[in-house]
Amino acid sequence: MDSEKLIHKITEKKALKDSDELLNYINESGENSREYIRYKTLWALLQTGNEMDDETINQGFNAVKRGVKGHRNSILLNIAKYAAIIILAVSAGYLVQYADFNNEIAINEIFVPKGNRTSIVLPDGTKVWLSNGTRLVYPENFVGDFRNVELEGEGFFEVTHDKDHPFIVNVGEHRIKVLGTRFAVVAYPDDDEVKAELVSGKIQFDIQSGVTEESYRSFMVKPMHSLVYDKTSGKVYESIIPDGFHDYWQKGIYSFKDERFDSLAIKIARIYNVEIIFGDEELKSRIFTGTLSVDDNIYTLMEVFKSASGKPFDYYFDSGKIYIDK
Amino acid sequence: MKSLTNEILQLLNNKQEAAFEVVFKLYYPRLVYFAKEFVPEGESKNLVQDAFIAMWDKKPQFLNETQLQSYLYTNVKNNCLMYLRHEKVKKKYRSEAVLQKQNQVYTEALSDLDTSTVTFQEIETIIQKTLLELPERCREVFILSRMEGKKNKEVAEDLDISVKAVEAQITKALKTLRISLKDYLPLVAWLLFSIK
Repeated sequence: MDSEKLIHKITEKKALKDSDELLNYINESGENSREYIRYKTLWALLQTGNEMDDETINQGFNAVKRGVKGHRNSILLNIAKYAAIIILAVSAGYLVQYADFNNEIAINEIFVPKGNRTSIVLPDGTKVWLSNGTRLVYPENFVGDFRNVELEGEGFFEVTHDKDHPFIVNVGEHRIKVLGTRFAVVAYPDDDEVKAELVSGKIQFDIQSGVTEESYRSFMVKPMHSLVYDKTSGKVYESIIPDGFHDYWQKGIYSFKDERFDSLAIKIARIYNVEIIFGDEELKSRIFTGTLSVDDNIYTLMEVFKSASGKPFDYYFDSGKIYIDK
Repeated sequence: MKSLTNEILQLLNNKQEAAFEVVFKLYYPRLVYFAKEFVPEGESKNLVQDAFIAMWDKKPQFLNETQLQSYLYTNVKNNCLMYLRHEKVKKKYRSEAVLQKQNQVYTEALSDLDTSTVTFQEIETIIQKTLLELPERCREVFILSRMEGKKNKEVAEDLDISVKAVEAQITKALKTLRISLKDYLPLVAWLLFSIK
């Protein structure tokens, strides 16, 4: 099939599954598949939707208005429906793993790809902001004495107060126990540390001490403090969190002060889904102060870093990575 | 493709519902048609509506229309991806292989799609470039039909020419355009064909 024919097929708006010719074509080679994808996405981006009549548009607008006013829960449920990626009932492996939960209850798993953020409302009304390569597992309904969820990555929680049913965020073998509060957890499995940052309320950080499954070293975290557990040394550090740090969660702004370039690079990688590669060791130790906005684009951001750096550096983009060199 | 004035953006940033409505009416159709390329039609409307609801709830600030575009397309893209992933699990044990294949390819396409402002700037640049290559009458037709989203009949009325003449100008535009920009233009061209 030549490009002309391929484009013609795409513009016929026929779904891929309905065209044997297209399916055969993309199955032939990775190059064919990429060519199809290139045209398909461009075609999708170039849609004007001029074909849509005013009535359909107005119906859409009314649906959105209904969604915004009052019916908040049902919309969020609707979003959660798409977000609820895995219904555990189909997966025996998961059921074994989650023997704590009543088998009757569906377990939802939400995964936020790198470079994205989302927020959801859990069945108890607790609101969670998730970002950047984060996975959250939670039941469709909370039953039993505890409200258990499982997190890998970063989440900011506004937990609905319910002193009879403590809320527990499980991060690997450690956990954070909560009554009703606003706090953030940063716990990527591949990071060397697990961090809990408390804005208000009261949380207890339980670090698995290894003797038995149920033995923990417990630490209380004070409001506006963060507690970091270093997985390699086993040490625990406490520090005051800067004002407005949770802006990152609610407004998409991350403020940093005197932070090393290599540490920022890890955050940039998560926020913008782009890997930064340093060509020179010295560059990693350069210190920056400022703010990152999630809505900024990475190109602008690199220019800002470049002009903010005391000593000059160069950078270039190549296949999804940024290379920085002197 | 820009059709919003700075004034509207300003009002939107000030959380004016009327401005939100203007933005909705302009972007809803093209976002639904965008999403429809990857998910079933009924779902595409829901997913786009969800994106607008989220936007109204969050009320992000936009410096320019490209940012707004990027924001909306990114959200719709993510909603489509979530739908496709959900679909994948739901149908794991009973769907036909072709549907799985389709979902896999569509997921790949959406995951790879860059919806940052850069893409929209690029498309804008390409459209500007194509405009410069066209003879004047062709350009007028192109602007009215592509950038202002008018139907052929309306374009004909505006320029006081026949619908046939509009079609002829578009065909002429196609010939010029096809030669110039390799990757985007065949599609721009097909798009022009599809406007009735």
